[in-house]
Formats: sequence, structure tokens, C-alpha cells
Amino acid sequence: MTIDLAPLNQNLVVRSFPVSEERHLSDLESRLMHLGFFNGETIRILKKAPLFQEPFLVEVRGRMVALSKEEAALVLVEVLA
Amino acid sequence: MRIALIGMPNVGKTALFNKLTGSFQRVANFPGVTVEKKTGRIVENGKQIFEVLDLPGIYSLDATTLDEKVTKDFLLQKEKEKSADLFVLVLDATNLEKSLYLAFQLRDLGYPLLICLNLVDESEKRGLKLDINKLKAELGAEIISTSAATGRGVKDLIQAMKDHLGDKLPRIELPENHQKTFRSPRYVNGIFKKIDHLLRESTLSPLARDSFSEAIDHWVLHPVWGLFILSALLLLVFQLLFSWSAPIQDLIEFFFSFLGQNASTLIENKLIRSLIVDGVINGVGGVLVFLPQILLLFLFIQFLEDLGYLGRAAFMMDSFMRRIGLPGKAVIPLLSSHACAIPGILATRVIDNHRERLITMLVIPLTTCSARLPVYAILIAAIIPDTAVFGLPWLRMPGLVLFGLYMMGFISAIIVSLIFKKTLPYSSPSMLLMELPPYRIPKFKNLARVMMNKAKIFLTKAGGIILLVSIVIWFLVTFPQQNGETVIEDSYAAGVGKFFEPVFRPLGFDWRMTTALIPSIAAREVVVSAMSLVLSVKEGSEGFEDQLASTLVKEFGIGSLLALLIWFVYAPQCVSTFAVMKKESNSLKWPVFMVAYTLTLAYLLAWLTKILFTPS
Repeated sequence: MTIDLAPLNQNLVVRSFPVSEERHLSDLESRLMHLGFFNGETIRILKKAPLFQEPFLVEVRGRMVALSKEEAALVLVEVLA
Repeated sequence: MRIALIGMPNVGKTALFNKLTGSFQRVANFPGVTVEKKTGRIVENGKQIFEVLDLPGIYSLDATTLDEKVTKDFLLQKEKEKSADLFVLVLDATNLEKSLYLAFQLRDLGYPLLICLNLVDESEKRGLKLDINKLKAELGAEIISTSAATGRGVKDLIQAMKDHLGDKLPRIELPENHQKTFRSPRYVNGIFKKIDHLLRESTLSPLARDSFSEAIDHWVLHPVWGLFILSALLLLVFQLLFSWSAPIQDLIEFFFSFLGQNASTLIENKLIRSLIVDGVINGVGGVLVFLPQILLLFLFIQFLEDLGYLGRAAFMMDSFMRRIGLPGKAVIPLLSSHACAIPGILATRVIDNHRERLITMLVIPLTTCSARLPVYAILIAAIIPDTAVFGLPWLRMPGLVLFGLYMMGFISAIIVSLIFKKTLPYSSPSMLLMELPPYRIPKFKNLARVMMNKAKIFLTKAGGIILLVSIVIWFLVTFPQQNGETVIEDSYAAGVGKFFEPVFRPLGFDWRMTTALIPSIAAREVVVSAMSLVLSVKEGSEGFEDQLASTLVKEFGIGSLLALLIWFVYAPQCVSTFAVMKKESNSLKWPVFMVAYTLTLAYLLAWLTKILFTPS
């Protein structure tokens, strides 16, 4: 599942982001990667904003990062068992 | 010797810069871009030893934003003005996991660095113990622990800088294909691995979670309380702008009228007296009166920014604002522009996306600035009967109309921003993606400094144009003279008014009205006195407002006056707005476009109103 569909306050592990070494990454994808959305990193969705249930507040590599729905939909995650 | 402070956003770099340079600093823009350039000096015994630059925060050398590109230019030593002799890399001790990225990236490229481990007071409080020697060895750089908040370690940092006195930065050659490399997942992951390894090796006792920020966020981002706090704060801004600044504004008005009276008695020559009193003092005073609002607003915004709240507000408003074509961060500028468009446009600096910032600037003139209130008040008094609505004694027609005018501006701003969102050239994708900083207590000194800078920008950049336009308008309404007397009907202003009369005739405006509209280019509120001038209603006399109102109805009729009201909802803002927008958008094109589209809207809608409300 992607971040916008994942459960709150659980340890999630990033799967398949960025997709591959060869593909050219967009500015947005690159920024996501630099913030720590990377294969194998553990993240946590802390909150959804009121009103429209987005953006998402995500803890990643020691940071609190706000992601819009479209941005959150780029990152595949899995609930850590 | 020039030293550049470099680091990721939110590592306390600017606080450190303030501590290092004290009052010896200057804020300007980097040439060609509206990226703030902060320079300061470190002075010892009255002699400058270093020039210090506070570079915009940068996440990595894979620069994506304008701010980051400016910083990257410095690292690459592209031009002489964009170069430094030594880089001081600022790290956040409470978040090494993130801030070490840049350290490794720069080390790998061979930059000689002086590392400043900032915020150590906080990290120690939260239990972090580090093996500094291990860090030093691994990063190959000297590390100074500092706390900008208390000033701890700042002397050591300056001493360490002195040890590098006279050093020249070696020429750093970037690897071929570096742009591709910096964005390569393998490369990025490699650095993550190095950071994780180093932190495992050098952490003697781990950092506790930031329970303070978490506790505040529990309320501030709460689905119910969070919105409540946000609304309360926005209401407070409104209150601040309208009520709290009023006494200071009265004082400024009093000062200028005092100045005008004194000048009147002191200056013998009638013409020079008129120039100084009516042209310069009244003209400039009419605009300076907004300075308290501008300063209070910036105090408030900076306070929220330093506290760390502004990002949270944007986080909460983003999904709503995005649906109307604007980013969440546009909330503050749009709200501020209800006081005055100038602080609103200046406040758009918080929006990083160039296109979204432009759209916000373009729709700001549609919000109802406070200078329009006197005009609205006179016109509403003239044409709207003071009757109760729905039989409710407390709900009066005039109030409802005033509210309607505000809503009209607000709704128009939404519609126009939706149109611009669809039509304006697309440059870079709109991103929310932002880091929310931990909460920090704002420092009064920093707030005061920012306010001073904003005041300076407003006075120097807008001030010159305001003075010029005031004098030009004075000239137009005063000349030519007959026997040393001004006859308004024969003045140049009336000439201009008569020239435009055919254009405005469909709206029901004659030359007197078009003449009265001319001074509104300088400031909205002078329209009232201009109207009284052309209609020969003596200002300041008893019952002046009633008299002006009844004269207006008699001369122009309800339809034209309603058209005038609508005209003022949409008509281009004053010349100061134009000047500030020219500066902030760094172009002449966009302010001209703003004037063109608001003029078109104003004319068409006023015309429509005139047609609809003129009894046939």
C-alpha cells in the first residue's frame, strides 16, 4: 500500500522507492528520497490534517515531514511485523 | 575574509548568525532573485575581522529550489560575488541523523570544513552524549559545540575561524555527471549508511524524544482543537491589524497634521506651502499611517515562524487552500492583505513555489484593504437606507452591504486564483513536502531585527515612489492657477478627468468623478476629500458626510454610485502596491498584468451594475 492508505501510528517500512537506479527521478521524487523515503527505512505516520484527512505528517529519519495526498501516494510501504 | 554559514533548514543557523554578528548585519536580496541575502560582520576592537554570510538552508547538493541553487552557486564558487573563503557547516545536535547528510557530501568532495555542532544545550538536556573525537576523525574536520540561544561556544567558534585566517578555499572539481550522481539512489543510500554507521559508533548515550514538541503538537494538530487554535490566531491577527494599531495610527495622523499646521504657519509663500502641506506631508502621511499595521503584522508572522507554528498552519490549511488553487502557506498573506496589500505581498515570501507565489500576489488586490473603508462608508451612507434586515433590529442593511463587499472581494479572489491556476505558465510542480521544525521559543532580539528590516524595505523601496506620486498629483490638482487661485474645473487633473470622461460615461461618471478617481492612484482614502473638492462640498464642516452623500445621490443617481462601489471592489490598488509587487516579483510584467486585469474586471462589473440598477 502507499502512505496515503497506510494506518496511523504503526511502524512502516518503505518498499520500492525509488523505483530503480536507471530511471531519472523528478525533483519531487529526489526530495522525497533525500528526506529519507528510501527502501528499508522505517517510517511512521503521526497525523492526518483535519478537514480533508490530508496532508499527512510522517516521521522519517528523525524528521517530521508533511506530505500531500499526491506525494504520499508515491511511496509504497508495508506494515512492519 | 568571507565566511559562509551553510547548513540544512531548521538547524539554528540564523540564530547562530545573529549571535556571531550582533547588530552588524544587513539584509538584501541576491542579485536577480528574491532570495534573502544576509550579510554581517564580526568586529573586534572596532575592526572587522570577518564578513559573514548566512546562506539559505540546503538539503543536499541536488539543489531543487531557488534558495538551494543560490547556496550551491557559493559552494561551486561560480562568480566572484558568489564565493567564500571558508564554509562553516552548521549541524543540529538534536537531529544528527538528518544534518550529517550535508557533512558527508561535502567531505567526500574534499571541502575543508569547520563544523559547528549547534543546539548542544538542548541535545544534552535530552540526554545525548557523543564521542566528539570519533566524529572529528570520521568527518575530518574540526568540531565546535555551540548553543546560539545561550551564546555558549560562540567565542570558541570565532577563535576557530581565526585559525583559518588567510586561508583560501581550494578549487573543488565536481565529478563528471555530478548532477546525476547527487540524485542517484545508490549514492544517497551510501551516505545514509555512512550516517547510520557513524551514529552507532559515536553515540555514547542516545537522544530522548522531543516530548515538548510532541505535547504541543497533540493540541495544535488536534482535529478539533487544532482548528480552533488556528481560527483564534487568525482572528487575533485581524484584531491586531484593525484595533491594536489604531492608536498608533492616530498618533501618526496627529503628528502629520501637527506638522502640516506648523508648516502652514511657517511658510509664507502660498504655493510652496501648498506643495509641502497638501502634497508632501498629507501625501506621505496618508501612506505612512499604514506602517504600524505592517510592522505589527510582521512581528506576529515572525513570532509564529520562529516558534515553528507557521508550518503547522500551512499543514492544516493546505488541503483546503489547494482546492482553490493556492498553497496552504498563502493563508497568512491573504489575511494580512485585508489590512493592507503591501504587507500581504511582502508576506508571500513564505511561499517557495514561484508560480503559486505569483498567483497569491496577483489575487491579493481583490481582498478588501482597510484604506477602502472610508470610501465604502461614504458611498454606503449615500445609497443604502439604514433599515433592519428580516425585521432584526441588530442586523442593519449598511452592515450587511459592507459584509457583502468583503465577501465579494474574497470570493472573486478564489475564482480568479482558480482561473490563474489553469492558465498561467507552469514552471515547477507544486509541492507541499516540507519539514515541520521542532518548537522553539522566539527571541525578542530577532523579532525586533526583522521588524526593523521590514520597516526599512517599506520606507526606502515604496517611500520614494509614494513621495513622487504625491507631488505629481498635487501638481495636477493645483495647476494652472488663475490670479494665484486654483480653480479645480480648469486644473490639469480636471483636464485628465475630462479626457477620460467618454470612457467612463457608460458607468455614469462625469469629469468630476473621473477627476476624483485620479488621487486614488496614490491612496484610496483620499478619494473622499477629492470628491468633496470637485463637488464643492466643504470638508471638515458640520454634517459634511451627510452633505457629501446627498450631493452624490443628487448628482449621479443610485445606479452610478453602486457602479462606483463595485469599481472600488475591483479597481487596481494604489501605486505602493504596484511598487512593492514590482520589487517582489522582480519584473514589470506582473504588476502591469495585475493592473490590466483588475481594471478590466472593475470596468466590466461596474458597467453591469450600472445597467442593472438604473431604472429605465
